[in-house]
Parts: sequence; structure tokens; C-alpha cells
Amino acid sequence: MDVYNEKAIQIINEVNKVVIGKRDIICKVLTAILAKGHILLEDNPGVGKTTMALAFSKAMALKYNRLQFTPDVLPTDVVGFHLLTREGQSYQYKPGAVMCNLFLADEINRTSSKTQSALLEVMEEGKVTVDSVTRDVPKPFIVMATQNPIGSIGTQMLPESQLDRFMVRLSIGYPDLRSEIGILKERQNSNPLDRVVKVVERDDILQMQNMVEDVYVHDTIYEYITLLVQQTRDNSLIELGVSPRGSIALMNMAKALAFLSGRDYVIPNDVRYIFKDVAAHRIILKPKARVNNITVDNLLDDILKIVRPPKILVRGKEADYGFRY
Amino acid sequence: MLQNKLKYISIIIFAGFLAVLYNDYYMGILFLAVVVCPLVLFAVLTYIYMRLSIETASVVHVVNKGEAIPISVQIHNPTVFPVEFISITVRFRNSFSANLKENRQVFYVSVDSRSATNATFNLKSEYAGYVIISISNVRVFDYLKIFSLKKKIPGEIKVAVLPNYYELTEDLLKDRLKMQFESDYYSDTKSGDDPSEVFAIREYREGDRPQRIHWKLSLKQDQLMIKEFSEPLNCSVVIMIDMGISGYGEPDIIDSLLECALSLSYSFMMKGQIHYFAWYDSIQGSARRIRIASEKDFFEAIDGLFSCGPYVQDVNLAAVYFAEYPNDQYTDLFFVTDIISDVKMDSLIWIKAAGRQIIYVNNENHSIGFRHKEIQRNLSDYEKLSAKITKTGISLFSVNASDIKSGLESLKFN
Repeated sequence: MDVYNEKAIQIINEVNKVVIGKRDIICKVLTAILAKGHILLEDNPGVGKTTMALAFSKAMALKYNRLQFTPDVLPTDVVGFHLLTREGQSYQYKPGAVMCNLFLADEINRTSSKTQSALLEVMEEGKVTVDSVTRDVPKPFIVMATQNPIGSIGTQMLPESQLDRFMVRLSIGYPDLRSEIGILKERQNSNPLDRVVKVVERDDILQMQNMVEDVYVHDTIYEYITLLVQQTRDNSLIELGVSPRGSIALMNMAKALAFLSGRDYVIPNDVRYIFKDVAAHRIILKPKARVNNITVDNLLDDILKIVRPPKILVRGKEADYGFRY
Repeated sequence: MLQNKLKYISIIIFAGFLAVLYNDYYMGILFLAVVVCPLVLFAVLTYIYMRLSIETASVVHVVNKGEAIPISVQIHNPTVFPVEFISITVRFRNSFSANLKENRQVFYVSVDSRSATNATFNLKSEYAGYVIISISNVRVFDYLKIFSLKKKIPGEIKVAVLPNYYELTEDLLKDRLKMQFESDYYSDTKSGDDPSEVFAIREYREGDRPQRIHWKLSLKQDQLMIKEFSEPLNCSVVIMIDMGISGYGEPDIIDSLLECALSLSYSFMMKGQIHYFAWYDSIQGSARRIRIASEKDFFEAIDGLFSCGPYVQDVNLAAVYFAEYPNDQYTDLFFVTDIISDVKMDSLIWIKAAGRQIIYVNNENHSIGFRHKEIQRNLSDYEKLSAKITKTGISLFSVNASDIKSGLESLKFN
């Protein structure tokens, strides 16, 4: 496990060469990848969403496809289509953009809802069905979608069913002063992406994903996750709480985080650390929440305070709460 | 605690007396133990005090009037010593009644070693507004309750207590003027039929009306182009709430004003009547209004009202509103107030509206009473005001503050 854990840390270091000062976000993205999840990056233009995706694909030797979602992108561009051959006797499958390991869906909210929906099946099952023929996409398969919160005119908000399929929604945010100075220096005469080296093979990622599945989760942690999720369903200001798919995502993310921290068991802090990233985009507030300016983040903070984490003892001592990365 | 101290001092004196009396080794030890014990207890107490962490949390941030507000106080004791006795004083006040006394509630908890305790208590607010809850002090006691240390906990929780509001069964605007005034505000998202403003230009689609073809552009582009007109955001009704009060000791009347204005607004919203809700922002010193088309807007208006709150200074809301929106026209204007004055009436006349209604919320039993002391004292002013009402055509409706719902239901605006 240590060997693979070291490799995971190396991936973080490689991506960190390009996306400066955002190590926690890089960790969360890698956590989602190891948990077999998809990532929604919601942020302002120019903060490094696409660069991050490119750096990950390079460091992990993944086949990478990018599709710029615009109003005229069709579902066939995403999933592929059948083309009549020159002989005219059979149809040949022309693969869509999703036939890769890391699919970057850039500005996903700019396209029509039918094109967005084309991603539903492939995100959940890792398969595409074109003209009743179902095909597997290569493994691992990760969708990294970006959306821009500014300029809502002409955009189609992702429906709840699609948002729920993203394991986490992350926001990179602007770099701090020191990091921005670093970025300016780095970009003098070279593209930092050129310095990202391959750290792992595709099979290593699959192996890591399998190892994450084997991470031990104590019954009290299951209970803790359920209590957190139930709080989102019982709250008087929340219209739509976290779904069971969300609970599973929370568990898988906590396992991946434990793996990244070099542990083979989950501790409550793993769950606490990623709870907001997993839950926030699955929650819809009631109009009443406008009074007192309540945001989803505020509510989730309160839920984390209210639900007491269980005490985990490892060999008679309280579990180490530190993260390694 | 003083009693415990005195008791313990008497025990020390007694132990000292025994030690002197018997001059025995064990008695000396006993005396020493009795003397040292409080020092040890104080040391333990100080250690616990340094490590103990306390914070408040509430997942309920918005409640209806009279509903319980559950507040959870979380005490985490990471030390090996259990804490037998902690007294927590919670302070809470309603932001609308700034000068009213603060309420306090004291409760006691104990926490085991290396564990956390969650103490939950419920508060209730009789009045609408923001309830500010904070822990004013936490006192940690030693095992014999001889010493205690006070801890200050920063931060506070703000909970919004919503006033009552109803959907009135009576359609208040039925048979009223159906005319719509021209509006200068257009929808950003939807096209309409107002030819004075072009919303978008697009290619011709089958079924488009020939009148909408943009001939000049079509010739330039060599294909038929269509003009989409704009949708004016018409808002022909305005509700104004005058939250001017004579003193902060009147939470009842503030609640009644809110209840009356919000019930009107809610009823209009539910019936699909888009309207403005306006009030005086005492912080900015200007009139604020929100266009209410959905529940989101309605709650945003409540948030705005709560943030501004009532004001004691003499503000003429109608005049301030007119100064900010001088060209707006309305079919109906509702002015909810608890103080009527000659100046306010004059200002209401400036606002261009086909129908102006004053809804006077009063505490008195008779139908129209003027709380304004000056008017009450001076009969000629009263008569002058009545004459003005008749002359200007402003309708004056009186609603009893104790029963807003039936008061509003019985109004015959039509």
C-alpha cells in the first residue's frame, strides 16, 4: 500500500507544479479520481480548471479528450454515432469524445440539456448506448466538468439528476498573493505543463482504485455518515437533501482520503473534511432560506457541528487525526 | 459558592484544631491533606478550563413565530478529568426591540473525561424579527464547588423569527382597475409583445408572424430575420409598509404591521399579481423596494425588512419613495401604517396611482382612531384630516392589530 500511496503523493506534487498554491483542491480531485468519481469544477474563468485537468492526464498517463460544450454540440458528439460505410452495406461506429480515460467537459452548462443528458449513462455505468448497442468506455473513466457561475444568460443549469452524478463539486478560487507571484514567475518563457512528468501508468490508477475499495470502515463511521446525510433531509430550510447516492459518494471519498493519508481505515475527520464538497451541490434550499441569507455552506457547517463524530480507538488509543499529504 | 467556601474553611479550622489537640502524625497528615486539597482542585480546574472548548450551533435559522428554536451547546472536554459542574448562561434578545431587556437562561451540565456533551435547549420568541443568541458566560466549577473560573465564548447565532402571514381568501383586487401602465423595465430572459424595445434578432422559423420580419436586416443577411420584442415587467401594485414607531417598547404593533403588509403581499403573490413591496431602509436612509413575483422574492423582502427594522425617527416613507421613483405609475397603492398624519397624506397624493389605500393598523377598539398624539389632542386637525381623506379620494381602512386576518378579510377594497 505504501508504494501506491507514495505514487499518489507524487501525482499531487506533479500537478502542484502547474496549479500553484491549491494543494488541497488537487488532493480532493485525486481523492475523487481514486474513489471512481466524477468532478465538477465550478469557478471563474482563468483560475486553472482546464490546466489542472491536463496536468492530471499527463501525470497519470491517461487518454484525455476535451469537448468545449457550446449550444450547438450534439449528443452524438459526446457518445458517438453510426456512419454508413462507403460500401453502404453496414454501419461503422464513430466514437464520441467520451471514449477516453479523462474526459474534460468544458463549460458544461453552455450546452443544451439533451447534450448534457447524453452524459448520464456513461457517468453512472461507464457505458454508452448508441442505436441500441452498448459499449464500455475505457477504464478508468473520469469526467471532469467545468462550469462558469458568471454570465448565466444563455446557460442551461445542470439538472439535479446530473449534479448528483458528480461525486464532488469543487471551486479552485483565486490564488493568494505569494502563489500568484509564483505563477507569474513560472510563466515567463515556458509552459509549466511541459514539466509535468508521467508518474503512474493507467493500471496503477486501477490498482489504487481497487485498494481504496478495500479500506476498512467501522460501523460507527457508517452511522456517522448516515446521521450527517439525514440531517440534510430533515432540515426545515432544505428542499432536497443528500440522496443515498450521495451517502455512497461520501463513504467512497472518505475511503480514498484515508488511502491518501496512508491509512487502511477511515476516521471521522476523513468524512468531515470532504462532507461539504460531496453534499453542497446535491442540496436545494427552500425559498425561506433567503431570510437571514442562509447558504448551503452555512447549513452544512452547522450540521457538522451538531452531529458529533464518533471516537475511533486504534489499539487502545484515539485514532491519529492527521492527514499525510 | 460562598457557602461552600465557608464550609471548607470551617473544615480546615476543625482539622487544624484536631491536629493541635491530638498532636498525632495522622492528624497532621489529615490537616495537610485538607489544606492541600483546594490547591490541587484549583490546579485541576485551571487545567480543565484551559482545555475545555465550548461552542453553540443551531441548524434552525428561520422559524415561525412561537416555534421552538433549538440551540445546541457543545462542550468538549479533552482532559482526563471529568467536569462535574458547568453553568452556562445563554443570552438572547430580539433585534427589533433594541431597548427591551435581554433574556437570560442558565443551565448546568457535566462532561465526562475525554468526551463531548451536547446540551440542547429550546427558545421561543413571541415577536418577529432577528433573535440574537449568545453565550454570555460559562462558569466551570471544581469538584467541591469552592472555586470557579469564568470563560467567555465569542460569537452569536442569529435566528429569524417570521411574522404570521396568511393567504387571504378574498380576492382583494377583483373588479379593480385592470389597466396596465407602461413599464420601462423589461425581462432579460423572456421575449414579449412590446414593440418599443427589441429583445433579440434571430433567424426566421416557420410559424413566425410576417410583421416581425426585419426587412432591412433580411436583405443584408440574404435570409429572413425576425425581431423579437421585449416583455415589459409590469408592476402596477405597490405595498408600502411604514415601520415608524413611537418607541422601541412596541413589539406588538411592529408584528401587526408586518403581519398585515406581508399577508397582503403573500395573497397577491399567490394570485399571480406581481407587485412591489416597499419600506424605508433606516440604515441607508432611503426607500427600498422588491418586485415580488415568487416566494423567493417574498422572503427576500422579509430579509430586507428584518435587516432594516423599525425606526423611531419621523420619516415620511411616501415622500422618500416618491423622490426615488418619481415616474412610476400604479393602479393600486397600499400604505400600511400605524401612524397617520397630514404630511403623510399629502405625500401619498404625489405618487401616481389610480387608487390609494391606507391600511391603518391600530390597537384601539373603535374603527378609526389616530394614535398620533398631536392629532388626538387637536380636534380641528382630526377634522382637517377627515376632510382631506374625503377630498383626495384616499381610502382609509382600519384593521385591529389583535386580529389582522379577519380585519383584512373584511376589507372591501372593491
